[in-house]
Amino acid sequence: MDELEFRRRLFADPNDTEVIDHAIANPEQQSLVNELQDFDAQLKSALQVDVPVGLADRILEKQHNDEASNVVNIAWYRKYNKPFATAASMVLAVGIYFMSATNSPLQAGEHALEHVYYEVNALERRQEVALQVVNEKLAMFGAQFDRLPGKVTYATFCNFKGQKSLHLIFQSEHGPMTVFIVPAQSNDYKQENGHFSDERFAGVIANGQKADTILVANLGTPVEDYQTEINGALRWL
Amino acid sequence: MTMKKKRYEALVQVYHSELYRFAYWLCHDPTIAEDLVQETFLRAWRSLESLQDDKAAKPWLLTILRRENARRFERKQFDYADVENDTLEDNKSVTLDDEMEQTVIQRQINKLSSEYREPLLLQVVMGCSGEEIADILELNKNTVMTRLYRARNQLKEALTDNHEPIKGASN
Repeated sequence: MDELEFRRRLFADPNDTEVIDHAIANPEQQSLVNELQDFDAQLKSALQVDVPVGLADRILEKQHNDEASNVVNIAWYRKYNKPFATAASMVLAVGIYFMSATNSPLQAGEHALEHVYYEVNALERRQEVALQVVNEKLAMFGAQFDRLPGKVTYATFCNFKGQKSLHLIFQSEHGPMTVFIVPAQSNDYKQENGHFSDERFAGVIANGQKADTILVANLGTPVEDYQTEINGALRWL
Repeated sequence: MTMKKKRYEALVQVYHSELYRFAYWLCHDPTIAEDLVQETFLRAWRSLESLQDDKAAKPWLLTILRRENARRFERKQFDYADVENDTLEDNKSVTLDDEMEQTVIQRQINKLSSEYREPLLLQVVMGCSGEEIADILELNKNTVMTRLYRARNQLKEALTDNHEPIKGASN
């Protein structure tokens, strides 16, 4: 260790044991070590400001308050939210299983009636929908009407038992008549050909090659005639 | 009491005085210094799990404290134009000569640029090693040692040139 390095290291850290050991043999260096150590003691003493009384207690108190404020009152059922959520979802799953297993699937006729009741206000419409508009929608299924059995007042895509279908309403001599055109590829009521009715409406289901047509009209309407007419007008492309 | 609490209490007892002094010389205000130390320990409590080894507690706490201090400046830029006059600390139970001498030393330390002052405070007040200072200030150790050397060199020169009453400066 040369003189310069000794000085640099001593000034950087007067308690560096290597430097102190190095100075033992050299009185001049020894004196500089003592000087720097005294100097450091002075620095330390000058920097030794009084610590506020009770600081440690206040720090611990603050931690205690912080901990206390984190203990929020939680409703008993929220404390167990994970197990409860699991249990709830299992109950729901079991419930759905029993509903699907015990309830026989809604029949297509009932479904059609329900659908009509659900959109019963649509029967009151009088605004005509052009044949072209109806055919644009039907084109989605690859079909078109050559003519319509009456003035169409409603034409929209609907979900019929999970199947995208065309929901039409046209005005007949017997009042508004609803027609569902349900593409045949995946519906699950193939066996249900025929009639259905309730106290207000009567209907008929006709299975076709490409689609089923379900007609719902006021009770007493000759639905078969209309059904035949509609199926005659419906042309698959 | 939990293990965590015991460990925490030990940290507070061992380090709160040194940390307060270091904080005081960072901000030159007893109230802000206490706030800094309080906040530092609160954060330390909340993340005590991240302190693996209690031997590393001091640099860990200092890193938190410095970060807290930096946050203070992000929130509000305090005006310390009068810093030299603000920091004349009255230390009781010392003679008038000693008091004057300490005041002079404090003033000279405050005159150091912060890059020299901070490593010196960490070494003298906190008793940190060169490695620890390098770690806390995110510098390499050689840089830290050079700054410490210059800090003492400047202080010694300033205190000697002014013929200020420095006990044992040239004996």
